[in-house]
Amino acid sequence: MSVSDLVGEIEGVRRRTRRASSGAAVPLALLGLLVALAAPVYALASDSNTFYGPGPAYGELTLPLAEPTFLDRLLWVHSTSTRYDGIGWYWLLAAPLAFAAIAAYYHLRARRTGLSIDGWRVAAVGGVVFGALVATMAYGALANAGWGFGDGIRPGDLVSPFLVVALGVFVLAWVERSVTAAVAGVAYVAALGFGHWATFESQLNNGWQGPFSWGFMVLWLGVVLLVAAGVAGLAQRTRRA
Amino acid sequence: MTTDEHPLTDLDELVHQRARLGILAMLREAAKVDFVRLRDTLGLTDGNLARHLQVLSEAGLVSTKKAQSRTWVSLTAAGRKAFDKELAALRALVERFG
Repeated sequence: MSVSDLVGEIEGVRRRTRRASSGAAVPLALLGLLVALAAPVYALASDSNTFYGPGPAYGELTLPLAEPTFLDRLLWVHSTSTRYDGIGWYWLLAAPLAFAAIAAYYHLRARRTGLSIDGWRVAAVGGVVFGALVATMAYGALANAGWGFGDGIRPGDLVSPFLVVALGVFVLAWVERSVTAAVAGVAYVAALGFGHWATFESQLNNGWQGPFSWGFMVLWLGVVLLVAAGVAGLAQRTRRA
Repeated sequence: MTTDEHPLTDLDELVHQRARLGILAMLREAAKVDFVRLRDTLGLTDGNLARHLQVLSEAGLVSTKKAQSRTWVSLTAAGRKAFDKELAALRALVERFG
């Protein structure tokens, strides 16, 4: 065997191993689901866009009008001005579940393929991303406190759990060396920016009122990631065929 | 080495063996590779692969860990460096002599 054949063989082994050990489709799909499933919660929150608490969902439930605690604010953080803590709870509960599902996927994939990524790296990344999520929400809660309705886009609106998901997508692109995931991350951030602008500009932004309502905006964001997951899945199948 | 030295002087006999290069190449692309996956991909026997891993392990280039009835092999920092150096030397040879 010549040296160039040997180098070619080594490169071939590396290429095949890389293909077999990578695949961003499932984690992208899980992140897409995490975002898409938040849509009804945002729709519900924005449907009761008032300082006096959600109407339809809570019925006659009267929310306290006393000065909110920090935890209250933490759990309210989102891009509308309602007193609805469903969004905070959604992220605090669904995000760890999504992370656990992604970790389980990597575990199963390692057992199936015999190729594994560093578990500690995934755990560390998950911890950092979740820490960033909570920090983001805390920042939003603090920044939004005392910001009056009609004052325009509040500081906390620009830093949302959606940006943390974007961070997760870019980390995924790095771990998987996936161009599709990187492009998905850029598209998602662009859609997020556009969605914020369009929702604030739109006169019909509550609930599911129109394509730029909070419900649909969040749904579109999830769809961006789900479509990217589909593309990544097709690319994986094609490469391995 | 200086740039005037022959590229062959950069080759590491321990790493250069074809099967060992294959092992290191796979480990360069995944953090951990299962023994069975290595054996099947590289077309080695159990005994042959075990022997190569023993040599690489004694040289501090790979580490093995048993977990859940599997043996996972990973590259050490020294192994990564040795593999990259070997591949660079081989490429230099190809570039120089075709």
